Amino acid sequence: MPSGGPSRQETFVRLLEEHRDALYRFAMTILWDKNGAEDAVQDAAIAAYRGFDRFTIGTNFKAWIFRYLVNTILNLNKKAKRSLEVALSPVEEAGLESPERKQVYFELLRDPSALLDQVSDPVKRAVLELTHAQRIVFLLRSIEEFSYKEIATMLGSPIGTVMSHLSRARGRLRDKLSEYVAEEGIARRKQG
Amino acid sequence: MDCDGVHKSMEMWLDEEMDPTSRGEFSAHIDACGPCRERVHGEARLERTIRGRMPRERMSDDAWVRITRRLEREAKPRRWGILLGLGAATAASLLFAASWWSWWSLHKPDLEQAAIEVQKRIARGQTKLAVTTNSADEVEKFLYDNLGMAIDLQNALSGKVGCHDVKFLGAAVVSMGDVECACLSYNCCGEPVTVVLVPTEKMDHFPEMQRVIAEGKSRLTDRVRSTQIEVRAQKGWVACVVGDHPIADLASVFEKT
Repeated sequence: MPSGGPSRQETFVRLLEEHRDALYRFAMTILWDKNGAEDAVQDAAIAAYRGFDRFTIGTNFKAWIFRYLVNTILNLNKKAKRSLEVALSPVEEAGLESPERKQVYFELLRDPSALLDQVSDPVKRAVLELTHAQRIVFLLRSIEEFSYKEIATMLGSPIGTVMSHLSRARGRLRDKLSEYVAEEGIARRKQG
Repeated sequence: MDCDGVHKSMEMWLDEEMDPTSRGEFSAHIDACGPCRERVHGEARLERTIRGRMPRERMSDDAWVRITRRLEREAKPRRWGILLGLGAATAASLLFAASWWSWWSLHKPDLEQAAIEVQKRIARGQTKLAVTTNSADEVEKFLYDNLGMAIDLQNALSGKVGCHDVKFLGAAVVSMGDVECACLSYNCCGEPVTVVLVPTEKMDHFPEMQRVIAEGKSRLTDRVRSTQIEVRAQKGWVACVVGDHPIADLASVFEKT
């Protein structure tokens, strides 16, 4: 661990800068508010800097700093915090409730790009349909590519709880994407 | 591993979270089972597509500069923390001492010192005059309404302060300890004068002042004059006058009216 004021601060800022966009993107995708996201990253950075003495140089800084950001965001949203403490029961083909929706989903799996190109902003819209808790686990795993264990450490939850929330999040996301694609298909048929 | 097992553990396979043995079994099944292979590859395709279409927000340079500046400020207290701490403690001590002195000046049984303090507070704007007026009538009305003091200021001051240019600024009721006193403020030939009037019956709160009156001389400064006066309604008051413009004969100013 570096000692002395300037070198400590410079080291921290250098490490932080490598992940500034990832941190901001994560906060922005959850809070969907530019000022709120900037404030959350700043608060997390200050809190992390105060605890920087406990960070071991050479270990995973990204996982370490994300833990502070996740905590900052969860402190803003106590409902999400409570939700992530509870494991969810597994669901069969999560989210895909009707046979019609399932049919569309299998079409989507064959060529996702072609179908989603026909829909306006499908992924952004679908992500915004997730709860904050679902968004957090989904983004940490699918976008930031943290392991289940790293996510469990960040959230202070068992791995099984993380997996159950991730499964629900993915299910809902896929269901929403299928819904948009199905609606687009209906709209096209009506136009035709 | 069968088809059901593949479906159940598909997410772990996609997330590369399976242990090597299970991963081997999973791979062996999808190599052999066309529908499962199609499903798993489709899920991986969709996952990649979602990832590629996620919003790609970037932090603005302005926000980054704000954060680094905040971190700089955060780093400074470590270097200067002790000096700042000592400075803050010294400043707090001085502030406390000044506040205490100000409070004590108003509450200790020394009318002269208290009157000087009142004048300072009026000059600094810390004590607001309850009525601000150049009219002697209005000041008299205020004193009568609030303290029952009946005094003919126009007549009392006219030609008796060694100055023909008296301009009233206003009046207030000030508390000195438990005693409510009248406070007059006026300019005498351009010089500020403050008069604090205490009911005679309350003078036992100010034993030092009684000695001053008996000796006829302020022990503090030439700026302060004090005397015992009588006003209408047979109510006695002690006047303590603070001002750079000396009043030659205070007793004659506040003579019985």
